[in-house]
Amino acid sequence: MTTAGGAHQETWLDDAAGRLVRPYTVSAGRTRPTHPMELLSWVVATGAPPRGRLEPDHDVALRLCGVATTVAEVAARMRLPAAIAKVVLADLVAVGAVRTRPPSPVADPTDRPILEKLLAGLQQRL
Amino acid sequence: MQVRFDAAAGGPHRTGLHVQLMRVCVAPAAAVAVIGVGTAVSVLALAPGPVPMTATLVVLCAAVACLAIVTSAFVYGRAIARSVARAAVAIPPAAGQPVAGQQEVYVGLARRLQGLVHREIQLLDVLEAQVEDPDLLKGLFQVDHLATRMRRYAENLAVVGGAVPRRQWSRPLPLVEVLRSAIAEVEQYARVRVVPPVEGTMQGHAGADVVHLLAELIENATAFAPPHTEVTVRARRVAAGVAVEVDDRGLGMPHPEQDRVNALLADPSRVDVGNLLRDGRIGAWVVSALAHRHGIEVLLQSNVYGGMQAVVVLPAALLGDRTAEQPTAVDLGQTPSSGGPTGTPTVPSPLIGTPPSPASARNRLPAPPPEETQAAPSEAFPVGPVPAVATGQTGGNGGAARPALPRRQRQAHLAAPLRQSRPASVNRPAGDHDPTMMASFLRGAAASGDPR
Repeated sequence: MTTAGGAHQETWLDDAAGRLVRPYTVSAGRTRPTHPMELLSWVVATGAPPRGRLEPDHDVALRLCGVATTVAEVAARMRLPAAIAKVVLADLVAVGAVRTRPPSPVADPTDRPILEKLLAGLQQRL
Repeated sequence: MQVRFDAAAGGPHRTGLHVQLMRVCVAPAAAVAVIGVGTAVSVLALAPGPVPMTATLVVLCAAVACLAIVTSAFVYGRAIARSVARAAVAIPPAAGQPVAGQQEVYVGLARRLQGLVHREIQLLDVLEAQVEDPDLLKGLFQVDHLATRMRRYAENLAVVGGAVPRRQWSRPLPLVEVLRSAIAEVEQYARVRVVPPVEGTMQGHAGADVVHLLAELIENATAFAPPHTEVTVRARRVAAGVAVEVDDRGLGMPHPEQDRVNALLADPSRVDVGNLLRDGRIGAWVVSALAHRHGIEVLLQSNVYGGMQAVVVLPAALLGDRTAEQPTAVDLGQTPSSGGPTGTPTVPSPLIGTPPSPASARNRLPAPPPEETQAAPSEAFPVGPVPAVATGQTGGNGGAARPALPRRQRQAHLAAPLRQSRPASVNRPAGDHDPTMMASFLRGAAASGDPR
């Protein structure tokens, strides 16, 4: 047993303190979305009032869906694991507040011309 | 008889007070860690089909982190036992008297535990962001939940030793996040519901303490209500600050028992901690210590469901939006003779509105049960006491009920020729940046008698 060093006296401020709300509480422990979704699926608010009550995170997600956006974008903005963002968005789909569409063809990661253009663009940058 | 606040069902032991404290705080942490490793391994074993390499690594990392905590918990536990044994040989401690220097040992060990759990949770954050597989993520969440609860015990252990929280925030924290954070630290968190709307913010420095205080009360509520019932948490503005109410639908507590716990919650120093620990009610003591530190009022009472309601009044001094608070406090302070509910020193009474008001609950205290009398002299709880927290040094709590504080008159202490004098910065070379120029300009404009 070593003596207590400086490392044990430090305090963790703000970001160092970590997130206040643990991700598992956001989805109440659920990890499987009730509606199939991909990382690049499009989500957009329907404008219809949600049936049932919303949790605070659902509110935030719904606001982010005001303009058409992707699941990945919502997850990044809410600083949530993508799987949890999917659960939250799927809840919103279930209450009729959000509509989802499969990823646009442009976003297909196996599209060779797109990948070649991307590669060319990156090479120009470098 | 039901004994609430039974954090770790420990029977009566004749060992020293501090050994019991360690048992109560470290044992759950260690138990939680063991479950964590088990969970991680079972997740790995149960995952259907071939498990990807990264996923295996993820779960193993979590398991190793948990194992580190277990090891440390055991090492610390043994070290404590040894130090207590040594101290007992040197100076036989009187009943309930802490052995000199031990407090520091506990705080030091608690801080190490905190450090480990903090790192574990940071690691989990990274892993959770990478894992997309729902089954693996579920396992990670279980480990995360256990780690979060371990952190609560570790931080409570530090509270027992009188340490300040290590996690702090410089910004105001939304109250709704504080409530949800408290719920995350409870074993059966899925049964707890926050009733919207929860508005307002609180000061970041007390965030961790308030979270643990609420977690202790919510844990108690979930533990003593049937598993199918939900526990509701509400927050509402009151004159003294914000009242958080935790309601369960379980069995209530007998009135003498309620009075005992409320007496402890009002003032931890007047209760024999040894007796409390022998009853296994460390949770109430932790709540009391946390509440006392921040001038928070806590009260347990029966609710209409036949269960219990815990009312926590966060004083205005702890709330984040101070500018919004001040006009109200001044207004109330300037009209102290107007009567009404704000004129009485019993702060929570206007917010509860149910028959067993805090004043009446406290008035029952002068006839405490025998063991309570033994712990504290009979004059310990006079009729209609002003709780120590209400008149505390922070001054935040009973602010609404008191007359306004004297206000300073600007420049009143200066001799007449010195008033309205300009700062020395007027001698700066022209063209140089003068940070006080705008202030000088505004002062000049104000002196010119501009009606704005």
